[in-house]
Formats: sequence, C-alpha cells, structure tokens
Amino acid sequence: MRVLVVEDEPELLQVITRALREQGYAVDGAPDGEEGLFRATSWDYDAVVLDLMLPKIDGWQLLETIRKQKKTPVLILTARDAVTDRVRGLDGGADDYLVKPFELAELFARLRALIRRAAGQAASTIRIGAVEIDPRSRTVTQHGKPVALTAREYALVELLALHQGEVVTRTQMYDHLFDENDDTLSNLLDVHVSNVRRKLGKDFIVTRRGMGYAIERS
Amino acid sequence: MAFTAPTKSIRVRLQIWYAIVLVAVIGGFAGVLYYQVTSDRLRAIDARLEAAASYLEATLRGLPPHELEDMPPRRPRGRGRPEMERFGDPRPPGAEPREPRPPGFEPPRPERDGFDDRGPGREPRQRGDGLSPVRPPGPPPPDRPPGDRQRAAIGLPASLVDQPGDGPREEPYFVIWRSGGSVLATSADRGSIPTPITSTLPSGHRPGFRWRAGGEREMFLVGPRGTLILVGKPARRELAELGSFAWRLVASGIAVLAVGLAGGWLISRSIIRPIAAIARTASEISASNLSRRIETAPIDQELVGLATILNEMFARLEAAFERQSRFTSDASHEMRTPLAVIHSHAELALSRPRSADEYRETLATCLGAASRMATLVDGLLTLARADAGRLDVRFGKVDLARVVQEVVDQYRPLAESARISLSSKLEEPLPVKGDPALLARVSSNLLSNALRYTSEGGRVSVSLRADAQAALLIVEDSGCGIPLEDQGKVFERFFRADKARSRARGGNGLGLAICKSLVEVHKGSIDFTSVPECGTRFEVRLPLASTGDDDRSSIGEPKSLPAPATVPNGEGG
Repeated sequence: MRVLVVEDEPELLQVITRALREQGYAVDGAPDGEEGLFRATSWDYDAVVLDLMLPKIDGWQLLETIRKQKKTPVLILTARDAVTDRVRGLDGGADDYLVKPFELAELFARLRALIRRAAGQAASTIRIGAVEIDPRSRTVTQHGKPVALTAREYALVELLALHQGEVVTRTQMYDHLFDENDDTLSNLLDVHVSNVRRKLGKDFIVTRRGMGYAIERS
Repeated sequence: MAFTAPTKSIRVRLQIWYAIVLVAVIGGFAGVLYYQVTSDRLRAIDARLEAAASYLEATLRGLPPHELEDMPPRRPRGRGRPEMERFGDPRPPGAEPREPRPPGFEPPRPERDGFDDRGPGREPRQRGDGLSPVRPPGPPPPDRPPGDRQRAAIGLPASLVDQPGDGPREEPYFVIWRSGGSVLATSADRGSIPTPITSTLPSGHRPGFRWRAGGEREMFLVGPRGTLILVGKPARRELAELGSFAWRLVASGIAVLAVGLAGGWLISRSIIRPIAAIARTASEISASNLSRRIETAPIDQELVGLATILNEMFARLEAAFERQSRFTSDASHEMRTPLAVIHSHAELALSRPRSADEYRETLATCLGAASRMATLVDGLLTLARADAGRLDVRFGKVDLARVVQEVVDQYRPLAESARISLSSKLEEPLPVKGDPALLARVSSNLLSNALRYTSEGGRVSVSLRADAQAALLIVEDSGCGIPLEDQGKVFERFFRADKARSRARGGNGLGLAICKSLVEVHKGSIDFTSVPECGTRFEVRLPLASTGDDDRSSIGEPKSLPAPATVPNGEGG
C-alpha cells in the first residue's frame, strides 16, 4: 500500500514517514502543498495524509483539487480542532479527520480502515480459501497456522487480496508497493511473488500473461 | 416585563404633551369661534332692537308733548310693592286712577337726570353689560284694561315684527314709561312681555342693552321728555342655537383631539418600533453569531445613523473577536505541532526495540521540539502580560547603545556561519528609559528576523542614533522583503510572510508582535519599509531619557539578556 504524507513540519513528516514504513507501507512525503498536489495527482495512492496549514497551497485547496481528479482516500491530520474545521474538511471531500497531537496507532488504524473501505471491503479480515489476512496485525494464517511473511510480501498479498478476482497489473503493483525511495529493480516483484507462492501455495497467486497477477475469488 | 412608571415612557410623555397642546389649540380656536358667532348673533338682535327703539322714539317725538308728561305728584315709589300690582297699575296704592289722563295736563318740570333726552347721538350700545339680576319669571301678566287711544296708536312696524309663525313666539315687545314712571304704552300683545313691567324701572336703569333671566334681550332708550323706552325680544331660539353650536364645537373638538391623539400614538409607535427592532437584533447578537446586523433599509432616516453606528460597532466587535479566536486557534496550532512531534517520536521509538543511536536521535528531536514549545509559551506569556498591562518591567536609565552592541555581538557568529555580513554603527552613549532585558529582546528579535530572511552573501546592518528627542534604532537587511499584500499583517501574531522558511529556521511568528508590544510598553514606536526581493528596514523610536533622570547606576548593565544567539530564539516573524 502506498501512502502520501503532506506535512510542513519536517520532524513530524519524518516520524510519520518512518512509522508508516515500519508498518509496511510505501510512503512518499511532501513538505508543502505544491509538491503534495503534484504527487497526489501523479500517482494513485492508496491514501493521503494531509495537513491543513501548508505553505504555498493550503490543505483545503489541495483537497479540492485532488477531489476533482481522484477518489484517493484522504485523511486530514491537523492541529485545527474546531468543529467548523472538521466539518469543512469532511464536507470538502476528506474521508477522515485526526487532530494533532495524535497516537500513531490511531493513525494506522484509520489508514487501514480507509484503504479497506476504498477497496470495497467492510470486514476487517480478508478470507481467501484457507488463507486469512488480518490487516490489523499484518499477519496471514493458513488453516489457522501463522505464515511468516516479510513486510513487502505481506503488502503484496494484501494488495492482491483487496482486489481479489481482479487482475492487478505490474505497474499498479509497483505503484502501490514501492515508494520513490525503493530500488525498483525490474525483477524484484517476481521475487516477491515467487516467495509468496512458496509460502502459501503455488496457486494462491495466478499469473495472467502479459497482464499481471491476481488472486482468484474463493 | 418589569413595571415602569408611565412617565418613564417617552411615548406617554409625548402623548401627554401632545394632548395638552391639542387641547389648548382646539379650545382656543373653539372659544374664538364661539365668541365670534355669539357676538354676530347678538349684534343682529341688538340691531333689530335698536331699530325698533329708534322707531318708537321717532313715534314718540311725533306725539303731542303733553302725552309724554306725567302727573308731577304721582311719582311712583316702586320699592316694596307687589309685582302684580305694579304691573297692573304703576301708581302707588291709594292714588286715584288717572286714566285716561287729561290731555291738557302738562306740568312743566325739570327733566330728571336719569331720563335725559340725550338725543339720537347717545350711545345705547353697551353690549355685554350683563343680564338683569336673576329673578324667577313671573306669571303672565293679567289682562290690563285697554289703554287710551294715543297709546293704541303706538306700535312697531311690520318690518320689525316679521317673525314667522312657527316655533315659539319671539316677537319684539316694548314698554314706554313717562318720566314720572307711569306706563305710556306697551306693545300690542302684552302677553309677549315676559316679566312684570314695573314703574320703578326709570330709577334704576341706564340706557343700553341687558339680558333678562328668561332669555330676553332688552334695550333701554331715553326718549323725548324723559320718557324711557324698553324694547325687548325673546332670544331663546338664538340662545338654544348658540348652545347647540357650543355643544357641537365641544364634540368636534373632542373628536379632533381623539383623532389627533390616536394619530400621535400611532406615529410614536412607528418611531418606537424600529428602536425595539434594533434592540431585539442587538440582543440577539452574541458571541456565536456576531455576523448578524441590524437591517437599515426599513428604518426611518433618523434612526439609520444609530443603526449604522451599532452595525459598525458589531463589525469591530466581530473583527476583534475573530482576531482573538484566530489567535487562540493559531496558538493552539503552534503548541500542538511540537507536541505532536514529541508524542509521535516517543511512540515510534517505543514501538519496538531500537538501537542507542535511534534513541539518541529521537530524544534530540524531542528536546528540540520541547525548546520550541518553551519559546512559544514564553512569547505568548509576554504578549498576554503586555496585553493585560502586567508585564514585569523594571524601568531605569539604560544605555541603549550598549544593549544593542551586546545583541549584535551575540549574533555575529550566526551571521558569519550564514555568510551574511553584519555591520553596526552605534552612536553612544544613548540613554533611554526602559528595561534592559526587554530592550535587548526587541533588538534580538529584529536582528534574528533580519538574519532569518537574508540569504547567503547578503548583509544586515544595525544603526543607532539620536533623532529628534528619540533614539532611532534601524535594522536593515538585504533579504527577500515582505510581499506587498502581507505588509499590513507583519505585526500580527503568528503571521509569517514565508512560513516554510520561517519554520525551517525556527520562527514561530510572534517575534515582531512581541517587538511591537515591548516598544509600546516603552512608549516608543516601530515601523518598517520593505521592498520585495530587495530588503526590509525596521525603525524603532524610543524616547530619550532626560539628562536628570534617576538611576544612573543601571546604565549599561543589562542583567538578564535573552538566550545567546548561537541558536536564534525563534520568535521572529
């Protein structure tokens, strides 16, 4: 899952980025509204974390512009706690609103919920045959037994599971699994896919030649 | 609603005044009108009476003189005799009847004073000389034996007796006495004479007009040879008409008064109503809906001014309130951000085991954020105290040049590391009255601000000199300047022309606001000129201390300067 964080406070941007990466997200950061807008409209992020008081282009304007083009879930993360600001933010197209100072755990939970809902999933766990994926703990079990996956492998399984029954192209997978800091070697994706197949069964991920990968609907 | 005395109501007082004026005007008008009409009618009646009297006088002149003479010894004494008798026979009882008098009897005697023949030139018009003494009208006089033949010839012409037949009989009547008091003639229809005619009349009546109690108007006239002519006319109909006219006047006066008062009440209500509406709107305006305004369109011209003034006041209140709430929300925003940094870093560090370096980094970040919060809290407290007038100021005579010099020295290393040339030209000594710590803070804020917004290779210069009874401190930089659209907001709290840059260099947007506050505490002024992309020049004027001022000991020993400038204290805007 790839997330954009737009935050003008450098220390805060740094800590959020780091924390989200530790959670297995691919994270891009933007220190001002201009760069945030450029990134948000250039890629299909799974979620955007947006501060409101931003230099150059403020959060409201950024949100408005994103909403004209994208359905990306947006979580506003701001120090403005007035009810009028929350209402304005949510009515302006934001999907959630979190006030600083905040708990990282709550930010993670809200992002998970946003991503899940955006993929049309209401339940918090995803079950595919004997495999159960729990985004809260970022764990996968098969026949009730935990399966050890790396963060990147887990992210790949979650991405495909959220879009189960659909083909996810390689480009989409690159876009959602890697951020700009990752070395996206051309065969890195194939390595991850083959690792997952080894752990969860050969047929868990189906290859669609010339198109991409998919997890069949169970 | 509380009870208030009616006189407290402007509306009631207005009505009372209005009523008094109306009553006076209507009453006066009606009175004048009534008097005019009454006197017109009276004059008409009097004119008839006069005409009749003149006619009778002329008739008497045409009679032989002996007819007009009385018997000398038969002077009547009217007092104490019953009316009936007097009416029936004017002579004293026991006097022999002398009717008809002998035609030749004509004793020459001097004419009596009261009955002089004053001729036609006398003035009979004495209108308004009052009614006769009130006495009950007597019963109709009994028929008298017919008079002599001369008397029958005396009468009023038809032109003066032309009363129409309808209504009560109001024909004129007359009585003529001889100078001696005996009745010479009466009108033909004696029944029309309202009251007993007495022979005493000649003694007590002056010529002129009078009213009788029964509503008759009468006129006395002295005829030839001391005869006394009384002409009367019942005026009951006129009096009744005048009475009803008076009632109509009163009624219409009351009606006009009522209409006038009702109109006044309505108009005063239309005056009061907008005031009430203004009051209602004003009372509805509270902290939560300061944007409401009094609608001025339906309000009368006189009140528009009031409404406009109130609206302007509401606008100022709203602006002040908005400024205040923006300040609060900005302050909370500025506090929350470092708090969030500390919180998130600590949370992340604790989420799993970390290396010592990672912990150290986290703690360093937290410490930085905590210092920023401390600076911010300090700045906010300074501003709040300055606002409340409770700033702890220790005024003394201070050499401003030394204070500024120390600040410049503190910032020199920072300027060098940023490759900014920092020059100072201080004229000393320059004594001002103030608190050295606060003055150092002003200089420090201005200088750190100048350095913050100046790029590498630029220059910042500080100069201080006396100028027109003031110490003039100028801090000038060749930095990025302030955008024109932002120049009005420079001294606003939490305003930062270039937020990203300011924050990156530790500014919190309070520095210039604090400068302004502190300079104002010192009764000085601060101003600036700025050209975008060229630079900014701040000028502070502080009143010079007079030479004889107290506390020379404090000159040049600023005790507690703010934190050294190796790290700008970050108050700059």
